[in-house]
Amino acid sequence: MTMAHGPDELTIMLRERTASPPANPRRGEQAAARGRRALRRRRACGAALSAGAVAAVVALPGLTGDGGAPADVTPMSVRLPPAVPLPGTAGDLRLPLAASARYTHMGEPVRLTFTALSVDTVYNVRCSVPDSWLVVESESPGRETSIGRCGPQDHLAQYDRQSAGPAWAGRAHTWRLRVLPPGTRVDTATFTFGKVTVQPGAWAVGIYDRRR
Amino acid sequence: MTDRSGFTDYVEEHSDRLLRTAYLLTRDWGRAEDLLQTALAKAWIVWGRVSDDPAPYVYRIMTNTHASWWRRRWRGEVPTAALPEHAGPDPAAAFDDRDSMWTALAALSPRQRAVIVLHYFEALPLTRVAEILGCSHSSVKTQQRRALARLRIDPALRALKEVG
Repeated sequence: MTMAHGPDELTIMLRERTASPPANPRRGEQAAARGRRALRRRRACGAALSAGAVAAVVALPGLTGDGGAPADVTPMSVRLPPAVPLPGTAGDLRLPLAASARYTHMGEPVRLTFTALSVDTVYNVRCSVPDSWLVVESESPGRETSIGRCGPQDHLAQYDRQSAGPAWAGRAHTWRLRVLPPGTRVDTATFTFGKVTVQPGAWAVGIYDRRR
Repeated sequence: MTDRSGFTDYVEEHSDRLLRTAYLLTRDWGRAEDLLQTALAKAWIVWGRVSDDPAPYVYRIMTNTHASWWRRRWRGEVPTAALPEHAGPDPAAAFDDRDSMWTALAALSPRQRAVIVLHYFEALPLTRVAEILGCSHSSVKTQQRRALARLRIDPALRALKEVG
């Protein structure tokens, strides 16, 4: 295919797209507050460890995974779908759905165990409630926690050889996933979040993979 | 005690620009604000170490955090297989082309997008981009070449125009 543009057009496009940023006069103050909170947590964590305590840094309702909803469930007035469908394939490689799970409520942590068949594994989380928070923690050592918004668009991501690493393909992995209501206070700097309420809100997670 | 006296001034002076960079990485103003505040909060913590030149640190945190949030993420905005090509300099076509580029930008890996944004928006030289991303100059050039190919950008076009 013929190359159509020069780098100047790229720069112009990038400038045009960012022409009207929303103002936030409190940004510095808010960022400093986040920093202070992170520092406090870090110090609290350090103090607890130095005292030999074995304790969770953040205690959240619903962490036991027993499926029981806490008493402060907030009813929602909007009509939500009872279940979220997942596409049969995903990604450029059109990988088939290898594992999936569907849930009807947000706020409860769930565990998902699957075996990676390749280094191209795709995961897709679909959330029915716009701007929900998605937290993905891996129980495999050395893998980062990922946190971001989910819904109305898919949260779709794919590993590659570099990000998967040598300990990915052919092994079982367990993830702990949480979809949190949009209003949950989340600190993306420290991967921590405030009080979580269990609410109706369908979501689904699919693992797409194919053995090479 | 860390001296953070210059932090507020830095944010006031630079954060609009940084927010634009974050937006180009995330394509969503709300997520961009989250990403920027994440980076600024981390910079606030180590301000004593980075206050002389905070920009590389803030860029590094933004690009790494964005990559860890989304890795190679699609958001249903995959570029069309056949991008429109135009024979003449039709102004309307220029807008279409930029729309196509914007759509194609979404399909780049976080690393490729970071290279494009830091080099073509922030106007940082590739050596500086390599320092920020913590990789070699040749690796950045490879990412740049692949990204430009996906964006249908020919680096030689500017040179030809300048000569002409």
